Order: sequence, then structure tokens, then C-alpha cells
Amino acid sequence: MPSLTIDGKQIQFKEDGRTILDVAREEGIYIPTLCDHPDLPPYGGCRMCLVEVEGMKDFVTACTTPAKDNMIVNTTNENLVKLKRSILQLMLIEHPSACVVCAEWNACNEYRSQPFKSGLITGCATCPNKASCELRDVIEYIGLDDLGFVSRYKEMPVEKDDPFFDRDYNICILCGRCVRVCDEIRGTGAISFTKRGHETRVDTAFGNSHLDSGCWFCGACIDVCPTGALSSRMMKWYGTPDETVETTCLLCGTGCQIEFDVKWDKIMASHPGSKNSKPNRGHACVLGRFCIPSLMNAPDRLKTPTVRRDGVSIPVSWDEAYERIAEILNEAAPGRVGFVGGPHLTTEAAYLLQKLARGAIGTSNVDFRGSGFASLVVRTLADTDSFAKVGALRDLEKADWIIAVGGDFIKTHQVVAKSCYQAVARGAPLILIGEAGVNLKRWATEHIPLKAKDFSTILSQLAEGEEKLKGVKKRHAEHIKSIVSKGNGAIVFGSGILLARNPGEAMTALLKLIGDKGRIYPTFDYGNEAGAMMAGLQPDLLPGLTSVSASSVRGEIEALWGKKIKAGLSLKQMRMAASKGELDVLYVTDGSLPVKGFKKVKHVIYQSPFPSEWVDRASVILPAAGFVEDSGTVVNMEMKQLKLNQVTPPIGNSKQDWLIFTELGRKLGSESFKYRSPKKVAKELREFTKEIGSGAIVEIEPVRKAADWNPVYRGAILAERIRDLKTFIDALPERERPLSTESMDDFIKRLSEQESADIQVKEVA
Amino acid sequence: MQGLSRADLAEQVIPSLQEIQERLGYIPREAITWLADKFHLSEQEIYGVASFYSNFRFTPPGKHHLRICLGTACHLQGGDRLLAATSERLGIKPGETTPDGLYSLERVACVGCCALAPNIVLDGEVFSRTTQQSLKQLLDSIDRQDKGAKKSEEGSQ
Repeated sequence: MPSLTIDGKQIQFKEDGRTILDVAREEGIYIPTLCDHPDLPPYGGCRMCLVEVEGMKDFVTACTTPAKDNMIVNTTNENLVKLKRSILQLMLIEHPSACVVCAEWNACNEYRSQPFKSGLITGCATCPNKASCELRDVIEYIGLDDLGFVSRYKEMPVEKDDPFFDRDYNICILCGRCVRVCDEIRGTGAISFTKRGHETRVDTAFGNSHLDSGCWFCGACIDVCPTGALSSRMMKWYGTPDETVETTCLLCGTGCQIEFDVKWDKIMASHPGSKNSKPNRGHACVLGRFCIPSLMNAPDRLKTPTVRRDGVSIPVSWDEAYERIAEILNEAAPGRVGFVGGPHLTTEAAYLLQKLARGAIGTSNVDFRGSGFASLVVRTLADTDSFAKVGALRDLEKADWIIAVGGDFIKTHQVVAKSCYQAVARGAPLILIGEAGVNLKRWATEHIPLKAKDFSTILSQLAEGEEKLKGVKKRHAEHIKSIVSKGNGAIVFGSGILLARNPGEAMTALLKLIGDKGRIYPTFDYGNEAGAMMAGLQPDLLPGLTSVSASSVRGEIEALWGKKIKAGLSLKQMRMAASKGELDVLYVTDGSLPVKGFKKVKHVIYQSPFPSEWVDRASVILPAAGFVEDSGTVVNMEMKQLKLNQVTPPIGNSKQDWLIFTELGRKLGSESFKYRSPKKVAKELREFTKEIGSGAIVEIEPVRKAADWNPVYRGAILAERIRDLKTFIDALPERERPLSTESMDDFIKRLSEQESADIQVKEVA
Repeated sequence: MQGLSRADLAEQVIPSLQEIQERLGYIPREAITWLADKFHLSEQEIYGVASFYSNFRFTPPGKHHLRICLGTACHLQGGDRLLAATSERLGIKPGETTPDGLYSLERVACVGCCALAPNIVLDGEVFSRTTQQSLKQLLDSIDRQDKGAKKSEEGSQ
């Protein structure tokens, strides 16, 4: 094994292109860096990682020099440190908030809990980078006690006009991490270095707003910034957090691991989780990065159970609320009771909800809002036994080709888009079917702007290897077919596939097209769609995706729960029954379900963290905990089970869903509801998933209209609550324009004509 | 541009910017958007390249384009004072165009005849050993010519 020496320490390493910096880090030897970032390729810009290598001319950057056998590396040579000190001093000329010269330096290090620890004079009040500052760490390591030069304040106003984050380029050291992560990792390129020399700065084209520059507000630039130049507006100034907890985000189906800063039992800030946390590996989207604290700390969260008496909602104890619910449920005939879950319930809660319906009440009228896409995907996968074809995001980055269909996931699933771009950047061709946003169009090798209803046609044609492809010219069709004929493919598809003339056919076709080695990526819109399916939150499916008609399994469950089970009403059928006055009680756990069609229901039991239009109709309101206050598991778009860790205690008097169902089950007289933690529920559910029976395929009807991107969480419409998100979403239609196909000559001609017209107008004026 | 790799496309950015500047005299905003579409890049990536090179300008050049050399020799011979005086006379900073569209001013780093410093270039013609006096006379004469041309144009109408 080759070996090298760093600072007199002999280190063995694998010679595979890894750099001196990599080897040093693995060995725990610290070499300061500023422009280097684990996500990004070596850059060699900041010169902080300079080292001396015997036999090499001058000092070399450790981040770009591959480690070689028998190298002798020195990182602490006196001349080297002197040089680094000078470079750092030059860098700090343009970083006027350098805390290095502050008289409060020591005290600040010790009690860096409040931004105003040091006086305004030192500039700390303008730098939000408090608990951690990479620049500061490097200064401390290299040891600088004098700035050496007069600092130059660039007098640029702090940019606060865009949603979500503030940018203070006065303290930017131009390391280029933000530019590179935006361009090379996220594939957006919303910012770039502009101008040069002293005038160089990070900016958009012509200084446009970030809304106009195509920024998706994923926050990756903030996460890589080593200074306080970029910061999340809502998440600065709170000081050092008491603790940080990582949990799964449920705002879409990706299942990102998000880390929360907790102070005073409240969420103060959210960041993407650690680099090693799958599936997002240190990346997030606009929702996970910026929206969760505002959502979860909303002042209008439901905090106390209430019962409607004489038309007035009265706060009551949990016990009274349960009693009232038991009363309502016992009065009604089981067939006239409906239970509507949501895709944001944990798998355990979803399981308990259907157990409550089937085991305690004796009805299979259970379904969840937004189950169309999950139903199509999960049932088809179960029926064809092809769960193994669902890929992990890591695999997507390594795909040989990608087909994207039925969704603009740069908007709805930014982390999936990032993985997709990683493949594209490596050279994998992307075939885009249907309409999608500007990023996907820019990345696409072939774009087939087909109407959604034809998705099933073209996917079948591709799967069957037919000569012609609908709506595609012959030359392009051949190109597309040659692309999909080799290597391991990836098909990323969204709920837009339900718009196809025959969604079932489309789903079967893409499974065939992807073959045995390729992988599919269903981008579920909500947190736990697949988990809710597997928990049996369907009128015709038992836990573990077994059909209600599979008599042996059903028999076992019937014996266990003591009630007869037969297929119940789906959400659509419940709505029809309700409109005819044939539904007496509706148990709603997702406020995003429209009330329309359910007006004739006598009693509504509403359980959610957020108020919604159901509140005015509910006989009983139960305040549920939000996902950051809950524990349990969910199943993400990779069909992997992910854990929810409780970050903060449930707000006010609210309770976790699984606990509510457990207590209510007991109140209803069902002995088997005696779980003390979600783990016990999960254990019981596992018994059912041991043998997955055939999930009977129901006919999935196409839907008529695509849903606009409107993130919701159990009755909370995020854009209505978070003004910055609304600004962002409202600005999105502006960027949906077709890429120009004009030739250079036509373009010049059009512009010259436009100009002479302008001049004429001016002269007339 | 089908069939070209992203790297191939990126290579064509600078030649395309040059062609646009040659044909239109400057890089209009729309051109950045158009190039971004063409090369499957973002507007920022194109603008970052274009704004790096001082050769590319984002405002239309004036009818008369005046370049003042501030290379070493010209600088020593008073090029900076020529630039300051002209800037004051025209009321614009280097890189800008007068509101009437008559003059645009640019500072350049060398025009290749340092022995004859200080040099200026007016509409492609080099004027050497320029003094503030001679530059004033030159601009005055241009103004007169323009006025005369306008009058005769009006007269002929």
C-alpha cells in the first residue's frame, strides 16, 4: 500500500486520485480550508490549504494535489504559515466585520449566545454568523492578531428584497462556494461571479432579483457559506440553540432528514441534516429549509380539545372529548361512519386509524386524502411484485439515462431534482415528456412537449419498442430509442401521470420500459402516502397491502379484532353517500380535505394540528401534534422506512395522533389498544407485512386537471401562512416560458428592428 | 444545437457574445436571455462571463466612440487627466453613453503606440500626443460637423 508522510506521520492510503487534503482529513490532521466543501469538486481558490511537498516547486494546494506514494508533506512550515497569514489579511480587507480585532473576542467566544454580546462598533450586530463561523475558525487556527491592512467597506446595502434570505455582500470573501453549489450541484445557476478585480461580487444577471434569476430558494448557498454573508432571515439572532435534533420532513414524499435547532422547547431554525443522512445528504428544498419553524410555531395551532354544545365550541378535557366521540360513534350504524386519514399521518397512526374503524367500530370506510397517485403506484408494485424496482436517490445520480414525466419536480421535489441534475452533469441524457419548468427544459437532451393525456400512449410505445413515437419526429424518435436501449435507466414520474388517458397502462408501461436493472422514482406529493397504503388505510386493503377479499388473512384479523371485515367505501364513495345523507359521522384527520360534498354529515370529528374550514362544522375538535412533535415511522418515495424523532413537545394541550387513537380505542372498549409507544404499534403492524398478499388492482380513473403546486400540511396551506413562500410561488408562472429557438440572424434582425423603432419613437417624442 | 454536449455548448459562449457585439455594437439584455436559452445555461452564467471582460458593453455605443488609453506610457503622459476632462465635458463616466446618444467613452489599456503617448482613439482613428487643448478642438470640430450635417439634412427636407 502506498504511503506518505504528513508532518512526520506516516500514513497509508489508497492511490485513487484522492488528494493530500483527503488523506490528511481521514487521518484527522487539520488543514484549514475556505473554498473547499465536501459536496464540491476541488477548487484551489482560497489558498488556505497550501502545504509544502518535498521535491515540488513552491507550495501546493492540498485540495487539488493528488496524494502520491512517498510524498513528504509539511503543513506547519514557518514560511508557509507566514504566507497564509498574509493571504488571510488580504482576504480580510474586504471583510470589515473581522472579529479578530475585537476587544470582546474572548468573552464572545465563551458566551456566543447573543448577537449583541459585542458592541455595535465591532460590526457583530451585522454579522448573523454566531454559533459557527468557518472563517473565524480558520483565523483562529492560523493565528492572526492583527488585520495588517485597513479594511475596505464596500458600502453595499444588505439585500433584503427577496424572500427567505438576506444577503450582505460586504462580508463576502468570494470563496465561490455558493456560486458553485447553485450551478454544479443544484443545476440552477441563479447566481454567478460578476465583473472582476475589486468589483467582483456574487450577483445575478444585471442585478435582477433572485425571483427573476431563477432561484428556487433551496437554501444550499446559505448552508455552504463560510461567513455570515448569506443568512436565513427568519432564523438569525436567536443565539446558540439548546439542542439540535434531526427528523424526517413530511412536507413532500422525498423524506428528507432535516435538522432543527431547538431553544426554549421551540423550533428556532431548520437546516438540512447531516451529509450522511439519506436520502437528501445535506440538501433541502424551500419548504424544508425555510418553512417548518413558521408552520409549527403558528399562533393559530389547535391547542385544546373542544366539544360543540348548543352550537358553541367549548374547551374540554381530553377525557370529555373522548366520551363525546364514543357517544357519537356508538349512536351511529357502523356502515354510516367514515374515517378519512391523510398522507401526513405516520404509518403507525394510519394503522391505528384503520384499526379503530375496523376493529373498534366495524367499518372499512377508510381512505385518505390525496391517495390517487400512491394507490396507482403502490398497488401496481404490489401486484407485479416489483418493489425492488424503486430506486434510492443515490442510484438516480448514477443513472445512465433518465425519463422525467408527469411533474415539474424542480418545483415540487427540489432534492430529487438535485439528484437528477447530478446524473445530467455527469452526461446522462434526460428525456423530458410533457410540460415542465425551465430547469428541466435546460437540462433535457430531448423534450417531448406532449399533452398529459398521451403519456400512456408514448410510454407504451417506448416500452413496446414501436417504430413511431407519438408527437415526435422520426430523427428524434430514433435518438430517444437509442438512448433508452442501453444502460441502467431511471424514470422519475409524478402525480401528473394520473392525467393520462389510462394511468394504469402508463404505470405498467414504465415498469416494462425500465427493465430489471433500471429504477423508478415515484415523486409522492405528501409525506407518507406509501406508508398509509401499507398500513391499510384503504377501503379494500388490509394492513400489509392484503386485499380484503383474501379470506385467510381476513379471517385471522377478524378473529384478532373481533369484528367482521368487508370492503368499505372509498373517499369518493363516502362523499357520494354523504351528499345523499347516508353518512352520519365523519372522522377527519386532514384539514386539507375539502368540505364540499360532506355538508349533510351530522357529526364531524376533526383531528389536526391546524384549523381549517372543518372547524366550523366539527362536533369535536382534537388538537394533534405536528410531525416535529411526533415519533414513529414513514415510508418515503424510495419505499424506505424512515424514522420520525420527536424534536419538541406537543404544543399546548395537543397529543400525538397515535396516542389519541390509542386512548380513543380504549374508550371505545377495545382491549387491544394498549400501546405505550409507536414502536409497539410498529411491531404489531410488522406482523401483517410479513407476507404481502396480492393487492387487488382497482381501476384508477384519470383525473381531469393537474393540481397546481400548493404545499399543504393537514389543513394548513403553507403559502397562506408564510408570506415569503407566497411571494415565491406567485412569481413562478413568470419563468415558465419556452426556450427560444430563434437563430442568431433572426435574433439580431429582430433586435435591430426593435431598436430603430425605439429611436423613431424617441425622435417623434 | 441538438446533439452537442454541455461543454461543447459552453465553449461557444464567448464567440457568440463577440458576434452579437460586433453586429449590434453592444450586448443587450435580451441577448443574455437568448444565449442562455441557446446554450442551455442560466442567464447568470452568461452574464458572469460577459461582465468579466471589459470588451463587452451592455449599453449601446454612441455615434462617436471615444477610447482613452491609460496604459503605462499614456498614463504617465497625462492620459488620466484627458479622461477626467472628457468625462466632465461629456457628463458621463467611462463605459457610458451620453443621453443624446452622440458620444460613448471608454478607457482602454493600450492601443499599441506607446511612443506617441498619450493616445486616444476616436471612431477607430488614433490621435497621438494628445493634449487637453487638441482633444477639445477635436471634439469641438466633431460637434460642428454634426450640427452642420443636421442643418443640411433639415434644409434638404
